Amino acid sequence: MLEAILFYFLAACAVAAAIAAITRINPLMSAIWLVAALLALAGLYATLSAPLVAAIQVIIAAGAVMVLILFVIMLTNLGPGGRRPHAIRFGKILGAMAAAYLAIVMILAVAIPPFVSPPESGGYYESPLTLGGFILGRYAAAFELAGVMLLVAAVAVVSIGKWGEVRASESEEDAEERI
Amino acid sequence: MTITLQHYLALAVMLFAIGATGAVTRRNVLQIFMSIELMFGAAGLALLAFARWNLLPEGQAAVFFFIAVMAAEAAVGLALVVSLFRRRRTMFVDDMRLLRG
Repeated sequence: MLEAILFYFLAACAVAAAIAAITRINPLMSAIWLVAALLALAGLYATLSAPLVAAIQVIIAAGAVMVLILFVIMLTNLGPGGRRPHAIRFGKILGAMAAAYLAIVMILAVAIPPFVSPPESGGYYESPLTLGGFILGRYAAAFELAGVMLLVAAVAVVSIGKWGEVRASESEEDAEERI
Repeated sequence: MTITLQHYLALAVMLFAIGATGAVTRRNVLQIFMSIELMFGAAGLALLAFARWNLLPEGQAAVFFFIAVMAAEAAVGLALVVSLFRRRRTMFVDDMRLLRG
């Protein structure tokens, strides 16, 4: 009973915040609603007895990545004039209809029996010790590869940042010609 | 009033569809980016739901790597956004016509 209430509450929060996030014109409001949606998603991860993954989701997705997005919003602040809605009404309606169709078809595709509650885990599944054992044991190579991937991403970010800087130092018309 | 696997999958599909709608209807690069992040979260939810119902902790490990990939993707994507903004002084995908024939 309690988990049903928790599920419906978090699901309603996530869906409402997600809809609000994609309908705001101001990207700042969009980002704040997206933080709410990602926090509700982290709560749902916790209801699936994955507390460590929920904590990582809060720290990285709702924390670090959103801070990065807010920094970019501040760096590229266009002011009130640059905040045009700039979307075709017909295309919006068409996109929403296509997404609703996708959702209905996929929900019908997964709505097949058996409808059962989750099996008893006996403390093994939800323990962070289990996840840590998997990550640093059987999947240690993948863990190291993830570290290498993040390093490569950091180097790429520095390189792309410099690339933009060189172009910005040229005159405006010159940059226009290049693209 | 039991919560089944299908409840979680239906929720994940709904969130994914909302994210897909945002990705195709928004014109601001950052908002497209945020929609993609929402789709990432929904896919992780489906993966965790399957892992919970099959009692496979490998699913949790997969979502862990998933979040690592998302962080790297966010860093590179936002660097590209900033770089494009420096060159074009715009955040709207309509104004980027480099690959238009």
